This record gives sequence, structure tokens and C-alpha cells, in this order.
Amino acid sequence: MTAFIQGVGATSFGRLTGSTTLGLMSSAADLALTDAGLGRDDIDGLIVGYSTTMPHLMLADVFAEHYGLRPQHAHAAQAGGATGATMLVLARHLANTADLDNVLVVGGENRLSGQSRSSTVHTLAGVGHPTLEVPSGATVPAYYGLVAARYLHETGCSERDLAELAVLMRGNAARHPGAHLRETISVADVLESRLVASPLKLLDCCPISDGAAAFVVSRAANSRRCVAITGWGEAHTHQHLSCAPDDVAEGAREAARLALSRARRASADVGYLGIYDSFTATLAMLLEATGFAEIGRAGRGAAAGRFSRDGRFPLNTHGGLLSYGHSGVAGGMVFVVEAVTQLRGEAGARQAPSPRVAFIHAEGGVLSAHVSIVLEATR
Amino acid sequence: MSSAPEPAAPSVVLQRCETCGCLSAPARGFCAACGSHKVLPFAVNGRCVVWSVTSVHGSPYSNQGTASPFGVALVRLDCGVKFMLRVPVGLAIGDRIDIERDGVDSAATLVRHRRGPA
Repeated sequence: MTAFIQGVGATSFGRLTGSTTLGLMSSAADLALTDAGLGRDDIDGLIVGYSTTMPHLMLADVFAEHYGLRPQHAHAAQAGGATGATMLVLARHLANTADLDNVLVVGGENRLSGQSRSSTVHTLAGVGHPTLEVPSGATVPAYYGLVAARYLHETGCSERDLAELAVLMRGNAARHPGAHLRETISVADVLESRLVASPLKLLDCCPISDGAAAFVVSRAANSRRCVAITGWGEAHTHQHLSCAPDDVAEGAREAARLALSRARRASADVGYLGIYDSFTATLAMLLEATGFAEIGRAGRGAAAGRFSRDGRFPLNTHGGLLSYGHSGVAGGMVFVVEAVTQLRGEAGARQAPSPRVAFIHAEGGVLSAHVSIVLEATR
Repeated sequence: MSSAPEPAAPSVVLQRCETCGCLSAPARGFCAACGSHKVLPFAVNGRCVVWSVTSVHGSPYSNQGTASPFGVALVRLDCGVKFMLRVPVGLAIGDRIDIERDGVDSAATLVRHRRGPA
């Protein structure tokens, strides 16, 4: 059994002054429904992500009421940065087993303009353990700084290698009109940007953005633009970094293995990658753990063109979180939107040669929750 | 020439499972490895190795009297349990560090550190 992504949509990301959580979510839902050729009455399932600027116990019902939906099933999901990918897997399961024809999945928030930067950083730092971690004063960049420092220590990868990934993402974003950060950067710019949490510098970190994304997952394919969800796998190894295994990215290895095996695919079959890149080090570790680069070699691979639009594994052609932007749940959903666009052959100036199989990986927390997904073209 | 005596190691209180022997933090009232409720506080010696370390520049807490930059380390006890704590800037992975923790629900604090492996 499988299910199909029938429609996708993402708003522009960046500072969208005056935007609201529900307004952004509605815009993304409009885009996805139009893309799918469906109306509100066709939607019988709804899954939404959380919003840090609009915390609510029942955000799915709030959105259904606001947008004008009467679904047979509605709920919100929470898995940090892995929420978007988790919702796609959930929608696939619902379409297959709960007699739902079309499940709308929506995430979005005004994370940049709806609150102060320090309030966002404070909220995110709350993922730390209240007695074991938060008293240290660590922020989310600090948690990832710890992971990145250990990664460099163990692999011999350099800060310059990591910078190559930031440069690649920015170059990709330059070809997407909706991206938050589109000004070209060099390796030197990354290395000279201000320290945030060593070894991570400002340009190793994704921005905070406003934005939203949505997709429609259907039980049956209604056109050859539909993309099949053929594999999925999850792993949940810990929540807090101090309780993580020594092999911090172990969950990514497990999730990738499960997803590829369910899809009956090998990494060599994959022609497009959508890999979570909250920080350059995250991207390097996930590319390596999921099997698309040798350990410690992701950055050098990027420099050699391995992950370029016309390379062996075209990667995050929208610019990823590092440059398309990160508005929370929706940031993780744009990887899926872009992969679907690539598999349909509709990516225009960003189009990779002719991918038939895409591999998506997202993580939440500090490499805590992992979701891998295999998507395949039907055209 | 005699060197100064090694200072006594401070103690770190963990939760120990009386059934399977698992040492852990934080306290849960049960053992997450085997499910047993027979758990007791258990002091181990607080000698650790710096598993990773970062210097944090600017933070949401910097307007609450925290000077920036400051160091945060993830340190590992011999038994494998890790703690995150504030440290001086400049420590490196592999440095020896002694920490103290007086109860199963307490934060760990730095006692002393020295550069390089033991």
C-alpha cells in the first residue's frame, strides 16, 4: 500500500510583516489545494504542526474552523524539527488505514516578526533538560555547537569544509524567489562571520523566518503529477543531548535504513536529497549517517560538486533551512515541497537533471527524533 | 622532587538501580533500563573527561548577568553518564574535569579542571 502527495505549496519565507500563524497557514493551504486541483470539501483529514507564536491545545480544530474545513479527523503533531516529515508519514498512514481520501497537512508561523529574537531563542532553549542542561545557560546553537565540536574532533572535518555547505545552500536559494536569504556568500564570508557557539558561526546557522507550507496526501493518485510515498522510517534515540548515545546521529542511520528497505531501494537509486540543515554541521552529520557521504567527507563532497544541482545527489535545491529559511514546522516541510517539485520536473531554473527517487531526512531536538522518507515520481 | 598529592575526587550522586545496576541521571523513581522501582541514590567519583565543549557568544540570558562569551561543556563520567555544565572558555575535548553533584535532582557543578588527558 502506498499514498500519494497530490498537491504542495510553500509561501515565501523571510520577514513577512503583519503575518499571523493562521494567515500564513491559510495561504499555504490555498497553494496546496490549488496545486492538487481540490477544494475544501474534498479534504476529510487534517494534520497541523505547532506554532510557537500561537501555542494552542487544539490548533488543528482552530485551523479547521478558521479555514472552513469539516474534516472527519483532525489533530496537531509535535516532533520539533521532524514535525513536517512526521506529519507526512502520519498522513500516509491515515490515508491508507482510516478511510480518508485526502489529508491536508499544514504548518506555519510568524516566528520572525511575531516575537522578539531573544524570546524565540529562549523558547527553543527550553528543549533542554530543566536540571541537567538549562542551568548551564546553553541555547539551541550551543547544543549544536557541542555536537559540531565533537563531530569535527572525531572526523577530522574542518570548519572550512562545513562552510562549503552554507555556500552551496545560499547558491541554491539564489535561484528561488521565495527564499529568505539570497545574497551570494563565500567560504571566507562564513569563516569570518561572528561566532555564535563555537565552532558554529552566524553563517553556519539557519535564520529565523516567517513562512508556511502545506501538502495534500491522497489515497489514490489523480494525475501523473502525483508523487508516491514508498518508504518511511523513524528512530527516537533520546530527547536531551546529555542522554544521547555517543554516536549522536545513530537515529539517522536507523531511520534511513528502515525507509530505504521499506521502499526496496538502495541509496544508489536516489536522484534527489532533501536533508535537514538547521546548522551546517547538522547537514554534514545527516548526509553521512544516511549514507550519502563518507564519514567526515560531506563538506569536501559539496566543494567537489557531489551535491550540486547537476551533481550525483542534488541537495536542497530551494536553499534548505540555511537559506530558504526556518519558520519552525514549515521549514521542515519545504524539503518535501521542493522534492515533489523536482520529481515532477517542475523546478524550472532549479531543476535537477531527472530525479525519479527522492530521499528526505529530518530531525528534531538535538538529533533526537529522526524521520526518513522515500518519494518516487509516477510520471 | 615530590608532586602535590592528587586532590580527593568530589562525588557525583546518580540514581542506581538495585535490580540491574544501571547508573543514570536524572532521577525518575524507577529504572528506565529495566523498569525496576528499586532505585537508590549512589555516589560515584566525579572525575570526568570533556566530551565536547563550546563557547557561547551572546545568549538570551546575557541580559540576566551572564557575561558573554561563556563556556558550556558536555562531560562524561567513566560510567558513561554525561552532564552539561558551565565552564571557563578555553577547555578542550579530552581535558580532565572534576564535577560535583549533591543529589539525584541537582545540577552538576565544576570543581576543578586541568588541560590534557590524565
